[in-house]
Amino acid sequence: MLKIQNYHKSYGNKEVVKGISLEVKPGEIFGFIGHNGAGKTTTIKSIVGILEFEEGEILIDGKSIQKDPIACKKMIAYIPDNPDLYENLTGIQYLNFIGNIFQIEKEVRTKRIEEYAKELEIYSNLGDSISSYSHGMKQKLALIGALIHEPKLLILDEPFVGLDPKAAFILKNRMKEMCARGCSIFFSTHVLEVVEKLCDHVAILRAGEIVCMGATEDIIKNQSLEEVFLELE
Amino acid sequence: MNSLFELIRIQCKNFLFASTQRTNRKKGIGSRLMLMLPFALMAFLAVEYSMMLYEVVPASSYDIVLHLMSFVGIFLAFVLGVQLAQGQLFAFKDFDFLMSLPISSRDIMISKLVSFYLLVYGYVAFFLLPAIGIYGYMTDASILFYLVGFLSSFFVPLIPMVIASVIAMLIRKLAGKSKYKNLFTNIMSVVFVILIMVASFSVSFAAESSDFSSLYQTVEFTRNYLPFSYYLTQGWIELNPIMILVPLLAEVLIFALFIIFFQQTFIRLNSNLQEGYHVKNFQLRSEKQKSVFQTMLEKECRKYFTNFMYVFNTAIGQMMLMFGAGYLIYNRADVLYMLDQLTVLGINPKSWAFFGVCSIIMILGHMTCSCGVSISLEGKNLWITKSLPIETRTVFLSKLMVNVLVIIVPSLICFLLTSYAFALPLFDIIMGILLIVAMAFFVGLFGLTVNLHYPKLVFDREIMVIKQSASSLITIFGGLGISIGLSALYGLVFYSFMEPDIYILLITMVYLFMDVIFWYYLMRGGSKKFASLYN
Repeated sequence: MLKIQNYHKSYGNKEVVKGISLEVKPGEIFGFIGHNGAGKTTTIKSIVGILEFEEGEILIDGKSIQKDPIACKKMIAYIPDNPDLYENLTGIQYLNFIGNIFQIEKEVRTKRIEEYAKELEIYSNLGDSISSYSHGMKQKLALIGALIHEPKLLILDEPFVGLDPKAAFILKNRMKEMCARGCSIFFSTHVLEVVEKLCDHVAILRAGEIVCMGATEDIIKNQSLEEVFLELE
Repeated sequence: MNSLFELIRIQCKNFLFASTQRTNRKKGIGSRLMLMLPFALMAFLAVEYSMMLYEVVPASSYDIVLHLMSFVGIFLAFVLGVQLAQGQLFAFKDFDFLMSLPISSRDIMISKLVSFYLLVYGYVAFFLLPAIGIYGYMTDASILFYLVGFLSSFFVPLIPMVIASVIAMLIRKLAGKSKYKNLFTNIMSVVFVILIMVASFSVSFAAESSDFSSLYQTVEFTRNYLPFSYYLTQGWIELNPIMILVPLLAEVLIFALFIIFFQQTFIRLNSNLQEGYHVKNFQLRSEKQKSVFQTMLEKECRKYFTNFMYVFNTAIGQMMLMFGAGYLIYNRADVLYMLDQLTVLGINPKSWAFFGVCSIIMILGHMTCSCGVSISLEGKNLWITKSLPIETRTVFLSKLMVNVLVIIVPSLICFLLTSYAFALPLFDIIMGILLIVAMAFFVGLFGLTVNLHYPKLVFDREIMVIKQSASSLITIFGGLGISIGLSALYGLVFYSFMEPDIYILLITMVYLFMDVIFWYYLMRGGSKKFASLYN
C-alpha cells in the first residue's frame, strides 16, 4: 500500500532524512518511532504530499505521490500532530468541507459524521466555532474528518497527544477495525507501549536513518520496545 | 518594579522583532525595511503637508501651521488608537501565561499599554517631529524649541490612547458573548474610525483657499475641544513653561487614573474572551453535496468575509468607489455643468466623464487585491490544502474568484449607475464593462503571482500579513503604479490622436493579454511554486 524507496530530504544544505526505505502492506499497522528531530514528521509530510523531496520515490498503491498527487491523496487521510484547522469554520462546516472534497454522498456522510461524533463525544459541539475548541476537541474533529471518507491509507503523526483516555481507546479500536477491512495505517508516536500492542511492524529512526526495522515481535524479543529504543540511541 | 521593567522589555522585544524574524539575514533586513515603510510614509506626508501650508500661509501666521500639524498628529493618534486598541489590548496570546506568573494585573496592563503606546507613538512621532523641525527652521527657532518639542511629543498620544482604550473596552463589553462578537467588535471599531474621520473633515482643511478662515476655524476648534493640544503647541511656540507643563501633567494624571480605574475591567474582559459561543441543542442536518470548486470557493469566501480587517484593508477601494459614485450621482447637475465648461476647449465632456470614471475604477480596483495575501493567510492551515485531493488549479481559481467578485460587483454597479446618470453611449458602456472584468482578473492573477513568490506563512496575527507583508505592499503599490501610469499615459501620449473609449479598449486588450500570460504561468511555474511551499 505504501512503499518508500531511498527517500532523501534536505532543508537547504542540511540533509535531514538520509535515504530511508520501507513498505507498509494492506491491512498492516506500521509504527514509526524516533527521537525529536529524527525526521519522522518530515517523512510523513512527504508521504502526504505537503513536502517535496529531492531523491527517492514514495508510492501509494503503486502511484507516485509526486507524479500523481491527486490520485494518491484520494486514498490517504492525514492527521498532523497539531491539527491547525480553519478557525473561522464550525465543526460541522469543516466536516462538510472534507465530505465535499472527497465527494462523499450526503446520506453516507451524515450517517458517518453522526456515528463518529457521538462516539468521540463532540456531537453537541459541532455547531460551535473551531476557534472555541480545545486541542483535544480539534484532534477529535480532525480524526472524524480523516475517517469519514474511509481511506485506504491512514497517516497519523503522534495521534494520541491531546486525546483523553476514552478517545485514545476508541482510536485504537478503530485502527484495528480499519486494518481488518484492508486499510493500512502508518503512524509516528512517542508512546512506545501503544506501538508494542498495536503495530505489526515498526521502524526506529535516528538522525534521518532507519537503524532498526522489522516485525514488532522480532524486534522486541525478550525486551520492551523502550529498552530496544534506548539501546539504539 | 523590576518585574514590570522586565515585562515591558520582553513585550517590546517580542512585539518589535517578532514581525521581522527571519532565518535568512538578507530577508531579515528586508522585512525590517518593510516595517519602516509606513513610518517613512508618515514622515513624507508631514513634510508634504507642512510645505504645502507654508507656501500659502503668510509668515506672520506660521504658528497656525504648527497648530494644524499638532491637531493632525492628535487625530492620527486617536484614529490609530481606536483601530489598534482591540488587537493590542485584547486577545493577546500570552494572557494565560502572564496571569499564571507572580505579576500584578496592573503591571500586565501597563506592559500592554506600553507596547500599544510605542506603536501609536511611532506613527505620531514620524509625523509630528518633522513638522516641528520644519516649523523651527521656518521661524529660525532656538535649540530649546527643538528640545522641548521633541521631549513633549512623547506625551501627545496619551489622552487619545486613553479615549481609544475606553472605547475599545466599551465595544468589548457590548459584544459580550454573542455568536458574532468578533465581527461586532471589528465593525464597531471601523464605525468609530469612520465617524472620527467624518467629524474631522467637517472642520475643513482647505489649504488652497485664499481665505484662511477655515484654517483659523480648525485652530479655534482645537482650542475649544482639545485644549491640551492647543496650549501645549502654544507653549512650544512661546517656550512658556507653564503652558507646556500643565497639559503634560494633566495627560500623565489622566493616564495614571485610567490605569488605576480600569485594570480590573481590562483583566475581566480578557478572561471573558476565553469563553466561546456555544450552540445549544445542535442537530445534524444533511447538506447538499457540492463540487470541489464550489466547496473551495465557499471556504475562500468565508475566510475573506469573516475577517473584517481583511475586508476593510483590501476592499476599502470599493467602499470609496461606492461613496464616490453616490456623490457623483447626487451632484450630477454640478458635475455636468463643470464638464460642459470643457466644450470650449474642444473636449467632449461625456468622453472625459467616461474616461475619468474608468480611471477611478481602475485605480480603486487595483487597491482591492485580496489575492495578494491569500496564500500567505493559509498559514498554519496550509497542510489541509496540500494534503487533500485538490488540484492546484482549483486552489488558485477559488482565491481568484473571490477577488474578482469583490471588484466586479461594486465596480459594475457604480459604473452602470454613473453611465445612466451621465447618459453615456452604449459603446462606452460595453467598453467599460469589458475593462472592469479584464482588470478584475488581472488584479487577482497579479496578486496570486506576487504572493506565490513572496509568501509569509508564519505569523502571529493575520493583520501583520494583510498590512505589512512584502506581497501586500508590492501588490498595492505596484497596482497603483500600473493603474495611475495607464491613466496618465493617455494624457501624456495618446489624447491628441485617440478617443478615450478607444484607449480604454486598448487597455482592456492589454489586461486580457496579461491575464492569459499570468494564468499560463500559474498553471506551470506557479503550480510548482505552490507545491514547494511549506511552513
